Amino acid sequence: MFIYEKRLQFPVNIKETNAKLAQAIISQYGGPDGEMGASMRYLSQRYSTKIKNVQAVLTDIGTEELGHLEIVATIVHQLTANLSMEEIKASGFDKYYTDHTLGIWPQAAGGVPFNACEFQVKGDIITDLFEDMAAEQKARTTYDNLLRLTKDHPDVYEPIKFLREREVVHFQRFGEALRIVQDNLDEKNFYAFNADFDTKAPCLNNNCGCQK
Amino acid sequence: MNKMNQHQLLHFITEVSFALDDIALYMDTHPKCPKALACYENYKNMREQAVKDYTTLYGPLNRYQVNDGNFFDWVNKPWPWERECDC
Repeated sequence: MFIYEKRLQFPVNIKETNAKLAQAIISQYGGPDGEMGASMRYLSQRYSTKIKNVQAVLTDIGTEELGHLEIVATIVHQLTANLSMEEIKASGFDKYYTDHTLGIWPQAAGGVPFNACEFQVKGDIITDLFEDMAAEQKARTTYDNLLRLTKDHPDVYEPIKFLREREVVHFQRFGEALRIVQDNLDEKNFYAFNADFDTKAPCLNNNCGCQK
Repeated sequence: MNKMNQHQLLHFITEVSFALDDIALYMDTHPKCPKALACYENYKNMREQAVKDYTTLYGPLNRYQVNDGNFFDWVNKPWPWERECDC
């Protein structure tokens, strides 16, 4: 069950109108390393592990990502509020405006729509956690790119700095989750096969006759 | 009753809530850490009081706090994505 709390995880109050920045930042709403992919990835991956710590990490980080999705949407919304037709034409926002007016729609900075293929649920928690750590790094790089674009816009810069920092923390927590999974593996499971799908490690000795 | 104005009180709730968000993630992978648990308890109590004050003074932050007297506030008070200067 999810309950809405009527506040942002980090405050956003942008006074300027800037459609050029909005077109870049929307990538973290529906782009390849954005918050929509992040939240859907973690919340969907929860079902294929029995390890309680990992279920908790995926639930809590997935939930926080929904909050980040709302922060990114708020930044884009405030940057595009009160846009004039002249500004829409001059900033290149006219292409987005044609399909969505000033609404918030999940797409990458280059206009590519959000697609579930931007994340994976492999049903193997080790595979999934390696993806999660890579995803946090990719999102961190994207926020670094956005920080360079927004450095002269403090109202925009501060929430993006916060979001970047959370990627670093999440990477750390996923690394710990992966360590917990690996610590719980059968000692014969040297190649880290899918511990939740295959119940026993295959015997590597062809001559022992154990049938495993 | 709380001496902070609405903006300050919401800012305070945002701060203590974030502390809880961050400690909770840490506790997911370190569930036996007594220091983290004590820290969580401390911020949780601060948040509970602040949210109670906020709800009484300025309206509900979630639907479970909505009642006969404040339903109007839940619907009509500004939503988090709105610019402060929009009103």
